[in-house]
Amino acid sequence: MSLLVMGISGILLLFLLFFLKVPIPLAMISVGYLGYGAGTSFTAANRVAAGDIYTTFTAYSLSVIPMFVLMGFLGCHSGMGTRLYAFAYKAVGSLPGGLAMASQVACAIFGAICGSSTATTATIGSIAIPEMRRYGYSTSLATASIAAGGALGIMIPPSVVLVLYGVATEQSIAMLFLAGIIPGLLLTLLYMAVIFIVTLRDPSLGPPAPSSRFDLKKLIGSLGGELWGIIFVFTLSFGGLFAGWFTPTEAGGVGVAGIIFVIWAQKQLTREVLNKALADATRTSAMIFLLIAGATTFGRFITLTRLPLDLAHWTGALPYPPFVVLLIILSIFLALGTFIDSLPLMLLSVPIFFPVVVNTLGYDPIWFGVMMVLVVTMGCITPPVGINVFVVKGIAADVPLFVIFRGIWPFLIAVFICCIILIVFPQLATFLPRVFG
Amino acid sequence: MKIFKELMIKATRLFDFPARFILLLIMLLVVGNIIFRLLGKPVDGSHEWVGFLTGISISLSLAYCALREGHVSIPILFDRLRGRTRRCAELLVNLFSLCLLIILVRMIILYGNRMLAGGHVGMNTGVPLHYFAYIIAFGFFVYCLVVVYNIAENVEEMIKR
Repeated sequence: MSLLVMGISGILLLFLLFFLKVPIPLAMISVGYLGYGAGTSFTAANRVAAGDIYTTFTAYSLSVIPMFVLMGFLGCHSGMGTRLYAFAYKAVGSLPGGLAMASQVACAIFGAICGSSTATTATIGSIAIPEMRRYGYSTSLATASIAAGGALGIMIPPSVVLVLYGVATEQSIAMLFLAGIIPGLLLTLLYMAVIFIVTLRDPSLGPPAPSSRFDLKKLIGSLGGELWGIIFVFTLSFGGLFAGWFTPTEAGGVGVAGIIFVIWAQKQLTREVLNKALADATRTSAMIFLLIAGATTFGRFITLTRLPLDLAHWTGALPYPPFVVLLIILSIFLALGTFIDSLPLMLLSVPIFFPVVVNTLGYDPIWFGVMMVLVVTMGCITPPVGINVFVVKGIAADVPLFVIFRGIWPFLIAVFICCIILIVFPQLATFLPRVFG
Repeated sequence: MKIFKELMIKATRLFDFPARFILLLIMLLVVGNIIFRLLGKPVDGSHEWVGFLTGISISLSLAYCALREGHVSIPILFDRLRGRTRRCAELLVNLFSLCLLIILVRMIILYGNRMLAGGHVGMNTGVPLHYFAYIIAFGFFVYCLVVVYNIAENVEEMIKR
């Protein structure tokens, strides 16, 4: 069997195991191990697989992940979301669909301390969905806006997906975080524009809430009370990272210490909050680390088969401009993203597509990272496996899934427009890294 | 079966608690190192220790994550199966996972043995590395027990029906 056939068979076997509901990391380790063993020897495969697991688990560069995950869960369990939502409501509550817009602002700000889309969705959704339903918002708009807004958690730094991309492609995590800021804010504005247009066309979808008159004094007053904590943690953690004083892990550690201090100062630090946040953080980190170990082992097998190299040669010889090839690759990502979760999708596809996009097509690696996260964002809210939609379903159990998915389409268009803007103006992602780099 | 389940929950929690504590310890070590670095006396080998502690924390929480069904999988096709087919498929998947995990435990122990034989130590800390390999293998071993529990549950359900 040629190496290429072996590689393609390996990918097919992997998908078969996925559909049999074998945990994704175990499926990747088993295919990687068997493929590497068949391609070289099983003695070599034993060493490689064990070595990959050991190095992944004890890698300093990856210890940033539990830190950022813990930071997000501390914010999630300490009631920070409630205060954020109140602030966002004061800022944009007076506009049509104000509560839904406030949710987007709250998701964007919460995204600045949380790197996970599911945690952002759960935190803001548990506060905003009951509020929106209380004021007669359409169930579809209320739930879909939260599912879409939650995805801002992985766009705006810290983003676990960007960290993984950075580690997998050896790109600077600080630069990737910087690159995510403007597209993240742009996506927030696009989401708000979608809500504005939808509620302008049919005001009954998002009727104005009482006492929603814009009051600048109240808004400025609440800046000190509700927002200072997030600004403090973000400046302390990411200021140090962007200035080059901290490594990403140190930025995460400082962020955790900062958020514990803020929660303590707000008298929200209890044993229960700390315990819940730590339990969620260890569980999520274990899931992510096993995924990385699996993807590393699988990646070794794929590299052995020279599949990425052949794919790069093949795409290089295509009679289409790089732009078209890029669109094809992004479409593949989008298709895979509809049924594979964002983290495994990123880890699985980066070794295959990164050399093609960066080395063959000549695109900027930092820009491509942001584009990938954007496409993965679409995967978080598209059927059949839009993870954020399932989180929202957990919060609003009485709402049928199809009602949530029905409301998603306008937000998907917003993400699509954001992708097009970023393809036409890549500077939106590369500007900040260039200035600070 | 109930006793087995309770024991399993207690055991995985027992290992998850130190994992949580270690996460806080990592944060303290990282922040402490920054403060000492500002004072001109950085903690020697702190980066290595952060890596080792992360490894321990992750290994100890692998099983708890599995018990809470935290490891990602794709349920779209599988969830359409019903009755006996579904239970058989579940059993097969769990058996497959168990076999792989047993192979991994063995592999990592052998890896640790090679480290021990080669006298591998941390570059800055001088700590023997094989200990961490054994801890990781132990984490996978406890994960195996969770899968054994799932298999027992599958079999019990099949017998009942």
